[in-house]
Amino acid sequence: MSEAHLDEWQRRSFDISSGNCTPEQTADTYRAHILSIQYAWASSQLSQAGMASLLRTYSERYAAVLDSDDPRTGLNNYADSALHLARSQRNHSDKWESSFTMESVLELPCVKRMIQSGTGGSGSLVAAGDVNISVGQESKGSSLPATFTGGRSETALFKPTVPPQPKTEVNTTASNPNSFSRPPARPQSVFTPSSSALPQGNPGGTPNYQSSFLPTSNPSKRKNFYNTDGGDGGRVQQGGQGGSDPRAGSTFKTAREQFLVEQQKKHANQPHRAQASLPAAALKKSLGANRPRGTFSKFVSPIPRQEEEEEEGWASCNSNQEPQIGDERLKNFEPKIIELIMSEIMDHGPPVVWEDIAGLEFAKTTIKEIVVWPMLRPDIFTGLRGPPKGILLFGPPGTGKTLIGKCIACQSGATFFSISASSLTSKWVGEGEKMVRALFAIARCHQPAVIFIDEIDSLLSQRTDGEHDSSRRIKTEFLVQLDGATTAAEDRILVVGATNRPQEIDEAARRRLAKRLYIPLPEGTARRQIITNLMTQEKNQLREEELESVVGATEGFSGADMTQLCREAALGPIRSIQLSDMATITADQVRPILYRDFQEALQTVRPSVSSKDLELYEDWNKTFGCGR
Amino acid sequence: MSQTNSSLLDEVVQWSQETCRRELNWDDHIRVLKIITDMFLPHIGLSELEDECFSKILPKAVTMFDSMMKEIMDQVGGLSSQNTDLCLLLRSILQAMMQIIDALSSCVRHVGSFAEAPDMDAIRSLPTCVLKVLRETFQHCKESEVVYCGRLSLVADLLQGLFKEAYSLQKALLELLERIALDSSASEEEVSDIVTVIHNLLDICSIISNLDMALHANTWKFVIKQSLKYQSLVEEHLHHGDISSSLCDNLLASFHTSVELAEQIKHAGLQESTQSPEYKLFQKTAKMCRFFANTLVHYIKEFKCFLTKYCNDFHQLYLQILSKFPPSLCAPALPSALTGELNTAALVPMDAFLLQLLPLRPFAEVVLQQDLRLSPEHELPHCLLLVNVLGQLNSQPEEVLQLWYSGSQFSEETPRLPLYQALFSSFRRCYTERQVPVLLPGVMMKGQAQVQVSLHNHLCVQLCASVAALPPLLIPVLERCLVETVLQADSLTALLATDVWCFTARYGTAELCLHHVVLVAQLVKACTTECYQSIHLGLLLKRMVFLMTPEHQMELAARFPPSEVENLSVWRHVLLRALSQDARHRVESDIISLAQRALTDWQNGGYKLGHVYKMNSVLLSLLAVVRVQASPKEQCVLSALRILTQLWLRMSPDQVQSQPALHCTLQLLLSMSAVLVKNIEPQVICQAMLCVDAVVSQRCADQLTLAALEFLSSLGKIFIPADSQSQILPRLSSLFGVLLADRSWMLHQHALEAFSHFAEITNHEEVISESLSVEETKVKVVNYLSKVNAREDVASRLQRIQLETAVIEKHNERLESHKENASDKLTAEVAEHQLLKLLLKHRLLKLWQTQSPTILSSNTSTPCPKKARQEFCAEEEFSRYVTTAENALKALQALTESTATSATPPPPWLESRLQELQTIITHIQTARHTS
Repeated sequence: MSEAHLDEWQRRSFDISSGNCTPEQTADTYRAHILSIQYAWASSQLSQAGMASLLRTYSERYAAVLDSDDPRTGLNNYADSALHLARSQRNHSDKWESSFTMESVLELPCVKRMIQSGTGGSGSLVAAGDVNISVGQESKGSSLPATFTGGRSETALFKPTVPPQPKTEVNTTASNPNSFSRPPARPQSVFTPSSSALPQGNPGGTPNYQSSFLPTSNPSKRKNFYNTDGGDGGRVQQGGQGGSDPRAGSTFKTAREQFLVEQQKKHANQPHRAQASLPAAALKKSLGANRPRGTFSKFVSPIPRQEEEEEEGWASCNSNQEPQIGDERLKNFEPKIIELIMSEIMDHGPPVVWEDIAGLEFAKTTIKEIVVWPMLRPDIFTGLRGPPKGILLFGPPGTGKTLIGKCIACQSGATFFSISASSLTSKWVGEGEKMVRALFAIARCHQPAVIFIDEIDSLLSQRTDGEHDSSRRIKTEFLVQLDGATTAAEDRILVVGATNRPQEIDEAARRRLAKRLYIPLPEGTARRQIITNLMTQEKNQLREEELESVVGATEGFSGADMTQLCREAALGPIRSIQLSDMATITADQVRPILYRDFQEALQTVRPSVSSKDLELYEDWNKTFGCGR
Repeated sequence: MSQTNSSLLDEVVQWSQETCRRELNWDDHIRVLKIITDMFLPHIGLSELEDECFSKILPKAVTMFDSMMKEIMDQVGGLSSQNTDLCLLLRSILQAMMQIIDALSSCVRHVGSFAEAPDMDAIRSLPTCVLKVLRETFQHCKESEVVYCGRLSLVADLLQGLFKEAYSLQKALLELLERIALDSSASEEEVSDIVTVIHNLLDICSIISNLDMALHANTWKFVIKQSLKYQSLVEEHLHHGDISSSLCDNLLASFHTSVELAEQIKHAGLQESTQSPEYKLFQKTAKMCRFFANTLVHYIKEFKCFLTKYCNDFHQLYLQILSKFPPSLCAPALPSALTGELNTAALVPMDAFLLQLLPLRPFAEVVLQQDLRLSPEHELPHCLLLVNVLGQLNSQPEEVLQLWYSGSQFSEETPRLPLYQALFSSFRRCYTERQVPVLLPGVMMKGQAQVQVSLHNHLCVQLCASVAALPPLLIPVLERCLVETVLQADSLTALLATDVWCFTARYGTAELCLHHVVLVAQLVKACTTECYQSIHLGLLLKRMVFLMTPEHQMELAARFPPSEVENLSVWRHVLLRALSQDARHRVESDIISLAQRALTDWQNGGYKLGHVYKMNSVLLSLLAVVRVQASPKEQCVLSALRILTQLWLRMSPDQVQSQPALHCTLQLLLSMSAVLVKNIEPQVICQAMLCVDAVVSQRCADQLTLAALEFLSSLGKIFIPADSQSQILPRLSSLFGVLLADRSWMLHQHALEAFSHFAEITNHEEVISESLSVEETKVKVVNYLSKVNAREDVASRLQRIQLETAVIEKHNERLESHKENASDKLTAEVAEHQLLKLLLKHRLLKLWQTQSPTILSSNTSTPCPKKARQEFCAEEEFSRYVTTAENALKALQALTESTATSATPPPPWLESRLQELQTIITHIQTARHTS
C-alpha cells in the first residue's frame, strides 16, 4: 500500500517539477500531497508533529499558487471564475460586518472544544530529575574531537556576544533591497478597484457589479511570495509557458475511464438482454416481438408507428412546460429557439470528405489552408495566421457551395450549423434577431463551430431605406455577431456564407466575410468525375470516348445540371420498356444506360446558368474575390 | 326494421341481469348491444343519453366483459395446441370482447358527434365504464405472457386486435373528455367524476407503462392536463402522492433503461450507426425519460404545496439520477453522443426540478439535515446537489435565501444545517472522489474552452461566487461555518474553508480582514498545544496576514506585540515576508531581541534543561524570521547566526541522545541552519552532524528526521574546507545512506528529494557514490532520478482508495470524539483531584490536631497540603538527582576504562575535576549530618 502512495507522490512531484502544469494542476497536486500526508498520519505512518511539519511546507506552497495573482503561476483565489459566475449579482461587500467579537468567538462550541482539548496534553518532556541538568556542559571534551583544538568554547566563536541593541537592527534592516513585496494598501475590496474610484458612488441604481480581479500595481510582486528561497527553489519552480499541459489532468481522467472500462469488461460477460432476445426466438413468446423491446416489456404494443407525430406532440409539449437549460450561457434564450436550433439547424448528416467534391481544387486548397488546419491546430495558427471569421462562397447555383460548407465542418471536426437565410427572415417573424443571437451563443457552446448560411444575400442585402424594420434588425444583429463584438477573439467560430448573388451583398457584410471564394462551374475533368461517380451506381455501357464527348457537350453545365443530365439519361432505358411489360419486367432485364440516352438527355437538359450571369460572377470575382 | 324486432328489443333492454344470464348467452348479448349502439343510439338525443341508455347498458357491458375475462382465466389452464375446442372457445371470447369494445367506441363516437361538448352529467357512465374495460384489456394484454403460458401464439392475433381496439377507444375517449369543460360552479358530483377519471387513468398508466410508450406518454399527458385544467376544483381531491410517486418511478425506470441501453449499444459497438434499432429504442426511451422529467417538474410547479411529504423521494430521485452521470464513480463510461442525449433527457431537467423544490421548506430540511446518512455512491451527487442549490439561490427571494443559508434558528424547528456547513461536511465525506480525483466542468469564460477541474476547485469557485454576492445579513452564518470548518479534523476540508475565507478577506473590506485576522490570531493564542486545530488555524493566519493592508499589519503587531513571549505562538505562524516594511522590521527586531534575552537568561540560569522549552518557543519564532531572509548581511541574520552558533555549541550528541526534550531544540537548530548554512562555521556543521548522527542512529521522531534532511540537503550549497572534509563528508554519506533506507515511505520520499537536491548542486561528488553503497538504496535513488515509476492498475487503486477512505474517516472521527472525551475525562479527573485534595486537607488537619508531634515532624510540618506536596516532591527530587549522578558517574567510569585501553589519554583536567566532585560529595554528606 505504501508503495502505491510513494509512486503516486513521485508521479505528482515529477509533474510539478516538469514545469508544465497549469496553476490549477499545481494546486490539485499539492492538495493530493496534503491528502497523502493526512493518510500517512491517519494510518500511523507519520507522527502528528511530522504531519504538522509537512503540512506546513506543502500548504505554504499551495498558498503560493492560490493567493498569487501572477497569471502564469497563481490562481488569484479563483477570482476570475468566481466573479464571472457572480457577474450579474450585487456586490454588498462594503457593508459586510463581522458578527464576532473577541469574546463571542471564544464561546463557539467548536472553539471551546479546541481550547479544552488544548489544556490537556502539554506534558513536559523533561523528567523532573533532569530539570537542572545543564545543557551541553560536559559534552565538549568528550565529543568534539580534533578540529576544536584551541578555545573551542562558545566564547571563542563569537566574541561580541553582548546582545546587540534591537534598535540599531531596525535601522539597518531597512536597507534590505529585496526584502519583500506586498499588496498595495486597499481601502476596500481588492477585487473591485472601481469602488475606490467611486467612493459610495453606487447607491441602488447601478449596482456594484463584480469586476475582474484588481491587478495589483506591480503584479510581479507577489508571484514568488511563498517560495522560501534557496532550498525549495528547484523543486517548486513552475512552468514558464503557462500553457496548459493537460497531462496531469488527463492521466487522472483516463485512469478513471480506464477503471470504468474494466468494470464494463467484467459485466460484459453477462448476456445483453437486447441481444439475447432475438426476434425469432421471441416471436413465440409474446406479441409483436419483431420490434426491439425495452428492458421490461413482455407484451409489445402492436400499434404501428403512425403515432410518431403524436410523440412529437408530447415531446414538444415539454417545451412549453419548463425551460431546459443545457448550458448556463444559454439561460437568457427561449428554450423554444434553442431547441429549434439544436434540432433543425445543427446538422447531423452523414460525413462528407473532400473527395466527394469534384474539381474546385483551388477552392479546396484555399479552404484547407485558411480554415480546416487552423481549426485543427489553433495553437499554430495564431496572430496573423489566425483564421478569418467569415468566408463567402459565391458562384452560380448548383456548383457545390453547400457541400463545401459541410465538408469544412466535417473535416475540421467542427459542429455544423446549416441555416438558410430565408428561414431566418420568414419562418420566425419577429424572432429573427433572437435566432441569430441564439445561434451564435449555441455555436460558442459547441466550439469549434461552422455556421453555414445559404443564400446569405437575402440576409445581408444592401440596406435600403424602404426595407422592413425586422429584416434590418436581423442584419444588424448578424453583422454585430459576425464582427465579434460579442464573440471573443479566441472563439473558434467560422461563418460560411454562400450566395449566387454576391453583388447584392452589403459592403459592410462583404468586409466581414474576409475571404471570398469563387466557386465556378465545373471544368471538364470535374464534369467527367461527376458522371463517373454517378454512373458507378448504375448499370451502363459507356465507352471512354463516348464519355469524353458527353463531357465536351456539357460545357457550361453546373454540378446540379450534370446530376440532372445523368438522371435524365438513366431514365432512357426505362422509357424503352413497353408499357405492357412494365408490370412484369425484373430489374435485371432493364437494359444498361447507353450513350444515346445521354444524347437524348442533352436535348432536354440545358445549362441553367447563362453566360451573362457567368460574366457577372467573373467580374465580381475580379473586384472582390480572393481567388484566381 | 320490423316492428316486432323493435318491441322485442325494447323489452330486452328492460331485462334484469338475472334474466339475461338465464335467457341469453354472450353472443345474443353482444348482438343486442350492437343493435342498440348501431341502430338506436344515433336517434337518442344528448339530454337522454345517460338516463335512457348509458346508465342502463354500459354497466351491463362492463359486467359482461368482466365475466368473459373470468371465463378466459378459468379456461386458459387447459389450453394446448391439441385442444382445438378450447382454443376456438377462447378465440370466440376474445372476439366477443372486441365487439364490446367496438360497441363502446360507437358510444364514444356518437357523443363526440354532437356539435356542442356534453356536460359531464350527461355522459357520466360512459367514461367510468369505458375506463374499466380499458383497464381490464390492458391488464390482460400485459399479463398475456403469463396467462397463456407459452401458447400465446394461438391467440396472439386477437390479442393484438384487442389492444388496437382498446387503444383507439381510449384515444377517442380522451379526445371527448378534452372537449368537456367544467367551470368553477361545477357540482361536487361532477368534480368527483373528473377526479375518478384522472385516478382511473393513473391506474391505466401504471399498467401500460411497459406496453406502449406513446400511449403511456399520451395518457400521462392527459392526466396532467386534466389536473391542471381543473386545478382549483380537483387539487384537494387528487391523490398527489400516487401521482408524484408514479411519475418518479416512471422517470427512474425509463432513465435506468436508457442507461442500460446505452451501455449495450456501447458494448455492441453500435454507437456509430444511428439507424440501428437499438439506437432508436434508446432514443425513444431517453425521450420518455425527458418527458417524465419535464412532467414531474411541471407537476411539482403546480401542486407544490401538496407535495411536501414527498420531498425525501425527490431528494433520492435527484441523487439516483446524478449518480449515473459522470463524474460519479458508478456512472458508466459512454460515448459522448449517448451521454449527450442522456444529459438532455435527465440531467438538464434536474436543474429545473431543483429550482421548483428550492422554496419548499421540507425539501431544505431533508437536504440539510444533520448526520445525513447516504450510501457512498450518493455522497458526491449530494454534494453536487448542494452546489447546484448554491448556484440557483442567487435568483431567489430573501426568505428562500434565509431558508437555505441560515440553518435552523429555533429549537422547535426541524434542525437543519446552514448550506455552507452542509456543503463543507458533504465535501468532507467525498474522500474517495477527492482522491481519485473526479473531474467536473470548470467555469467557461473569455471564450476559452471549458476545462475539467477537481472537486475542490469546482466547489471553491462556486462557494466564492456565492460569497461574492452574499448580503450582509448572512455574513454571520458564513463566518460561523468557516470557523467550524477550519476547526474540524479533515485537512482538505479545512483547506477549502481557508480558500473561501481568503477570498472573503480579499473581497470584503480591509477592516473586516483585520478583524478576522485578529480573531484568528486570538484563537491561535488560545490553542496552546500543537493539535490539528492549531495547525489549521496557523495556515489560515499565514494566508490572511498576506491580505492585510500595511497599516493593519502594524495594528496587528500592536495588538499582539512580538516582544511578549505569549504572542510568539501567533508570530511563528506568520510569514514575515508578507508584512509591510515597517511591520516586518518591528516584528523581526522584537523577536530577535526576545531571543537574545531568552538566551542570555538561559545562559545566566546555567543552561538548565528544565528551561529549555522557553528557548524552544523563542527559537520557533526565530526560525520564522530566519526563513524569510534573503541577504546574509542583514543585521538580524547576523544576530540569529550568533544565537544559532551559541546554541549549537551547547548541543552534545550524548545529551541529545538521552534527553528527548532537546530533540525539539535540535530540530529547530537544524531547520535554521539549513537556511543559514552558507554562513555557518565548519565546526558548527560538524557539531550538527554529530548530533544528527546521534539521534538518527536510534529511531527518532519524524519531524526531527525531516529537519535533518532539510539540513543535510542544504549542505550541497557549500564547499566544505579541506581541513574539515574528513570530519564531515564521511558522516554525511553515512547519514544519507541511513535516511534513504527509511522504512516509512513519506520519510523515504523526502530523503530521496533531499538527496537528489543535494546531489544536483554539491561539489563533493564523492559523497553521492559513498551514500549509495547499499545496492537497494542505489536502485531506488536511480529510479527516482530517472523518474521510473510504477503505475497501479485503476481497479485496485480505487479499491485501495476506498479502504483508505475508511481509515481517514475513522481517524478524523477519533480525533474529534477523542478530544471531546479526553477533555471530558480530564475535567472529571481534575474534579476528582480537587475533591481528593479537599479530603486530604481535612484529614491532615485532623491528624495534626490529634497525633503526636513526632508524626507531624516526619510527615508534614503544616496542615497545608500544598506544602506537604512540596516536601514530598523534595524527596523525589533527591532520588532523581542521585540517580542522575550515579548514571553520569557510571558513564564516566566506562569512558575512562575505554580510554585506558585506547591510545588517546583522558583529558588532563579530568583528575582535578574528579577531585572537585569528591569535595562536593563530602560537602553534601557533612551538610546532611549537621542539619
